[in-house]
Amino acid sequence: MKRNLYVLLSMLVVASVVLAGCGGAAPATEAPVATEAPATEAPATEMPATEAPATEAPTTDTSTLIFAQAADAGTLDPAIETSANSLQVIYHIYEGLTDFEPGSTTPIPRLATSWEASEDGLEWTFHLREGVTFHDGTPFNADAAVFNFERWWDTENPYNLGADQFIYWDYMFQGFKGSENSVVAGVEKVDDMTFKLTLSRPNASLLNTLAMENFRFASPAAIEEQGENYATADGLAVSTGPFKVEEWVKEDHITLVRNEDYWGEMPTLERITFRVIPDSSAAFLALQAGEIDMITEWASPGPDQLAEAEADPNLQVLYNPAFNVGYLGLNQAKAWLQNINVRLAIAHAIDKEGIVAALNPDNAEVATQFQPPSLWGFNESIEDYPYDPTLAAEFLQTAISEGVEIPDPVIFYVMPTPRLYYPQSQQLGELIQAQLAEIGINAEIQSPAWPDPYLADLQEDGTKADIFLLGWGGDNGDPDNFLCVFFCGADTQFNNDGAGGGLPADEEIAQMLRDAVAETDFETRKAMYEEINQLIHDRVISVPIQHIEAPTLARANIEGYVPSPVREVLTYIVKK
Amino acid sequence: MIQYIIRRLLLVFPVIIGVTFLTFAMLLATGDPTSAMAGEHASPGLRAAIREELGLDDPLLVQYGRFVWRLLQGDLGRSIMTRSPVQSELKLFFPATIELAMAAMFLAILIGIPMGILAGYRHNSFLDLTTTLGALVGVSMPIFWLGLMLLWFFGLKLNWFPTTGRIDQGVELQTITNLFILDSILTGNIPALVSALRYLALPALALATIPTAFIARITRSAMIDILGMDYIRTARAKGLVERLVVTKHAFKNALLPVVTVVGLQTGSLLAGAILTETIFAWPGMGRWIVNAIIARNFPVVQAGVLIFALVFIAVNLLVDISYGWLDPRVRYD
Repeated sequence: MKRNLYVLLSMLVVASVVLAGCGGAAPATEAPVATEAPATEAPATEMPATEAPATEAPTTDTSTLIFAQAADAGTLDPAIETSANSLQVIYHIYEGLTDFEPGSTTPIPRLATSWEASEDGLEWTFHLREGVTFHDGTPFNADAAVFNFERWWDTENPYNLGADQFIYWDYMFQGFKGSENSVVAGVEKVDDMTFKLTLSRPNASLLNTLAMENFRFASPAAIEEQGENYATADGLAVSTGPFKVEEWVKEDHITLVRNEDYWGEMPTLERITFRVIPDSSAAFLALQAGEIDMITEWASPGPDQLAEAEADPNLQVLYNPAFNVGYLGLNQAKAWLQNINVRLAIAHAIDKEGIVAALNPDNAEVATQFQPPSLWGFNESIEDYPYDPTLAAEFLQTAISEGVEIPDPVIFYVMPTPRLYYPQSQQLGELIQAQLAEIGINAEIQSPAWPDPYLADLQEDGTKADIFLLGWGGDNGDPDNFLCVFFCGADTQFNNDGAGGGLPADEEIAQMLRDAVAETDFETRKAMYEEINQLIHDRVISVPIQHIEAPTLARANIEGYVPSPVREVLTYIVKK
Repeated sequence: MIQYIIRRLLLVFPVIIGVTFLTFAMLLATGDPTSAMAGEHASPGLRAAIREELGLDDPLLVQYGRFVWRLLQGDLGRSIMTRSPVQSELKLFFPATIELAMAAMFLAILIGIPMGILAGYRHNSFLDLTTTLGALVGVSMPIFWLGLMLLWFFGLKLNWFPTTGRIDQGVELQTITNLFILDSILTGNIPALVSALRYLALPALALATIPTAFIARITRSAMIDILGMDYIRTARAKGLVERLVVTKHAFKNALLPVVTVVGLQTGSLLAGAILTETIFAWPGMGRWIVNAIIARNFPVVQAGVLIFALVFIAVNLLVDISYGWLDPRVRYD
């Protein structure tokens, strides 16, 4: 009898354990699933105040800000880094000729106090700020500026790390010394505090580009002394900024300490510690426990975490202006997508409002074009393709009657991990799949690992994906940066047939973009971009879906954070 | 015995070659670091440039040959993502994982063996049932879920333990081996020791669940088998105290399969540490290698695989040698 009871009991336990085990199949990085458990476990009647015990030494120290990121910085050399984990730290250490006005993307003086451009826009003379020293005591002057530029631009320079490393230089300046595409034609010292940059063609976004972290100055003495180790964890990053590097324990944290000799406005904080917490649920727990002060927007919290943070009086959500776009890419190297009726059908089949309302109601807005509304050049008169499955089906029928064959299945790439512009990428993919099914397109979701081979497949082997989810965040606040990357050259995912070839990008739009970046009159430029945006919309090159106001989660006692489109700026934060 | 050990050690070389070559082939065939280096900014042109710079378009054997040549000179290369020498990163992350794995194994043995002995001894009792069920639950539970639950309960709700990292930031510790527990003992730094133990507790507990389950089960089975043997009856008939029968006679003989499991579990502990390290933000090798695999950071992956293979081989060699000590009938010639 006793034995039968035990058997029954054990079967019950086994059954419940099996069910519990089934629920945990999602990867650790999928925030929505993992945060389900704590959210439901915390009873509504429990006073949240009991959750903030006084024993947390780290965050009761108001002179140190602890900021969590999902990965460690690679190096702290701005010229070669592209990921936010590195650039976020770099921003607080380094300075360049210009910077962005807090909370916006308007360039303002930083290490250059003023500048003039020649009539033809080819010669830019920068007057440098006096009395600035690098963290190692060496002076900042035109020699230092020239040293840095030559290191970036000249691949023969002894301190250059190779054309394949200086990714952003190539991106923004289209080539290196000696290449005919290179925007930069020369750098020279005019006198100790005057520096001249000569361009090969006018570039209206120059000041914006120079504000980026990637073009900020390192101490020449430090580079010469440290050689290959410069700005690695074995070396030291040296610039002129309000903070300098104090300690770097790899994969654990980087601590910056206030630069007491800083020329500008002193930060209130004495230290900023960038902690590495790979799992977003663990980071949220640490935030709730008061062990950290802020979590980067790049952790892409989903609506569950946001709701919990909003409800918790110890926490706050700081929304950064939307400066990104998530889109549904249409690979026009595939024959069926070359027909505009097919693309129109897809555009009308997608319920963007529904998607936004279902997945990110608090901080997403529907995208009518690739640029976010906050960026000038945004065309307000563009009427988005309304959600109309009937109309969509009609377009599709027209296409089929023209002889277009819709593949079955349609390969649909959806990234397996959240991105800044798609915090709920998997759910989004499923919604779109369902919406396409309604008009008769059978989309099969495939989720290769991010970033490799997901990105590699899209760029090199276009024969796989018909349609795909991807996105972009702006780097320098200029429409050229937003649009040219997609529509300027043959290196675009919209026209990739794989095997290194591809259909040329829409040449008309590409040329208009090249003309626009060379146009120096602001109003003319603005109008040009508005026209370009209209054209992109009319040709349905792809379907922009949403812009996200990326949220930075923080403790309630954090003040003085200015929400920014490009970078989370922590310099003037005050911890109460 | 010595000959046996030498023969086993010689086998290390073909194993290492096999393991590293396979890893190399699998990794190289499936991508390059461009996506990791440039993210959404990656372009085919950049990809071609990076592949050329790293020599990734050379034939597989040529690339492998380069790697072996450098390895023979003691050069593990530089990490593609951090540009740091792989050796220096290895010295940081390997001890961190070893510390975690050893703590987990220590807990597993401490809890698993007594539980297994008791369960085996009181076969078919309630205690036995609980142990068996507990083992089942331990093995079935996903580590990252368990980890998050531990964090939420002990870290947030009760606030007994910190949630992420290895040690309090305010604590000064001179690192010699980078095994924080050992270093704090060696330097007589009590605050550091306490802090390191507090941070180690939850991740070690999470990581220990599976090995504990395995060890408990195998100990239990072995005990059940042995306690049914004739010589145990003889021992009891001789009038030996029951405690001695169980510990000195039964358990010592049960150790053979247990030691085998411990050896095998060490290997899987090193691998399983990746999830624990991710949840608890523990800066160890598991995370280091997995991030390197995703980023196609070849030098790091190669070094990591090499180390894991060597550790696995060493542990299993020790296990095999210990058979000779545990069971006098086993002879190596």
